[in-house]
Amino acid sequence: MSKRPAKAGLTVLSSDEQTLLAIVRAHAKGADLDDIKGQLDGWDDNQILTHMNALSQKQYVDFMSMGKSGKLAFKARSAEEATKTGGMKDEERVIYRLVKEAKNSGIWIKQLKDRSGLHTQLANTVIKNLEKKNIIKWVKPVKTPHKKVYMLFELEPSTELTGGAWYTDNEMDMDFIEQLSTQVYKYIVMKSFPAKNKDAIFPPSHSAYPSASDIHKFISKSGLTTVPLSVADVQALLDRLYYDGKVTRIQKSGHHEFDDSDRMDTDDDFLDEDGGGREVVRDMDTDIWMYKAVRGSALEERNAWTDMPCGRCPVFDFCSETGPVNPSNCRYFKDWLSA
Amino acid sequence: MKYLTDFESLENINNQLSCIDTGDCRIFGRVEAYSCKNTDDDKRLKRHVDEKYPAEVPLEIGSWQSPNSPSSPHHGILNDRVTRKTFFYLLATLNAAFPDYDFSDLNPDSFSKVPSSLVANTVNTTLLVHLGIDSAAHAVGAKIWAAIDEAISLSECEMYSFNPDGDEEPDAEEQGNLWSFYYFFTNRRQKRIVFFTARAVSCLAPMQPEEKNAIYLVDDTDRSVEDLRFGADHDTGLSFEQYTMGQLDV
Repeated sequence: MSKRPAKAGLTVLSSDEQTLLAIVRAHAKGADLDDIKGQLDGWDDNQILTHMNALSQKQYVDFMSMGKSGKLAFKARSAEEATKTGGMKDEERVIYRLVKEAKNSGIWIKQLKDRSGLHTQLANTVIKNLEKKNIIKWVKPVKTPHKKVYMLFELEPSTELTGGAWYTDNEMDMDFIEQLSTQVYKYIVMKSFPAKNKDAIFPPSHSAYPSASDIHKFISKSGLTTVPLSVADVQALLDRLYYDGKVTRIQKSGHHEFDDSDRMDTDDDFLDEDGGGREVVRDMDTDIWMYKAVRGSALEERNAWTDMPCGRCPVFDFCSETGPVNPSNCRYFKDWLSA
Repeated sequence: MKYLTDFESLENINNQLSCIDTGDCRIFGRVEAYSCKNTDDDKRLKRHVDEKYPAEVPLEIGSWQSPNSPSSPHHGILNDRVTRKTFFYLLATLNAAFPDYDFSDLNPDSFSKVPSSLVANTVNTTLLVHLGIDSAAHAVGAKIWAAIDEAISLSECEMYSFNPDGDEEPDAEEQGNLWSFYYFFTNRRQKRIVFFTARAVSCLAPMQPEEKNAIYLVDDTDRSVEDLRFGADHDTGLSFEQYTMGQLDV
């Protein structure tokens, strides 16, 4: 334990403070009072707390509550954090802390001003200063494009703010979505019916219909777009096609899933050629669906009332069990059932 | 845009309009005069607008007539146009009037040019109606128009309206406004804009930003009463029971 105070950042620490800081830094997840007492003999609670307060004032440690009981604990701040905030005035620190807590979602300037408890003019000046120093920045969320939302300069806005892959410059890129959907649909159609015969369909046991990850692979390889898409994004496109009735989904049959869990990586040559998306199934939950394009007839509106002959019968009102025209000898039924 | 404080009559009006409680709704109005002097933020906005609309052509704004009304011949043909400069001033005024918001990416069609008859009619049927129907209320209405005229010479003005979508209205995200208007009176000669806005929220709505430290003006007397919402929770507004059962003890 050296007696000479060392310089760290902008402020000078006494040797006691240094010792304390070293201990707190050693506990990366935070140290509570007992942890610290255990490592230092002869220090009483008061001493620890006094030095801790000093360290906190100089921005080296944060107070926090740890564990289920919310015990008071201390966490060291990284050296650059300490220097960044060390030079700040109190009101700047208040704003900085609020913006930091908001992380990737950012905080609306109004809430920032209200929570800081600072007078509006002062808050505005502080916010402008921090912006100039590139400590915080202002972003535009897609959902509320007129609100000024602030976050730390180095953070990337969350996908909720930017809209993710489907938004370009804060606007939903409908063309992009449509084009991509069309390509995905064409790919599914290609895989859904045998290439040789236009009118044929695969037998029920066929399982080479593409799954979401297959389609994701197809898109990545095809170079259709430079925008990076995740499987979840592809899933969103597939869901849309599904709800529009253009594709239907088939659950991959049970025994395939068991097989996969048994042989993870090594037994690839056991799998059949038309294994569909089997070999890429790693996450059991997300990849159980295969997608198949729907043929024309299913898209036509069919109505039970008109399918049945009674719906189109010219003598419906006249027909009854006891009369000359009755359901038992109905000509239309005979024709319909024999067709 | 520089907020002008030299008009005492406007300040008086603002005191009267800032928070009005009519029992079933609360109204927040203000009239603000701005001079077209560019601040740093305005310069940044101007650059943004110039970049976004590079050609020097006038921008098409919305039409104040509904597309299906019998009087508008063909939707789109008779749309009004504003110069880029005017559009910029309208945006800058909005930004100055709502400091917690930034309207720099607003589309020109959120604005429309309105005839003064429409403005007068709307203001009369929304705001002024709540001030009462008697001659005293008329006088208040006349005072408002006189004050605005003093600030900006209404006869020389062009009038524009900001027409946001329901969910885009500033300060109205949690609960919609019952009604609202946002009018701009622009006087090119004087390089001034007067912004006249008011909105009403239901008595059941939670506390609005305008109501922090507000002094309420009752509409049937002209005493100012502090926090008129009898026994209501500050943050949540009148409860449904309180509203329907009436105020049992004042």
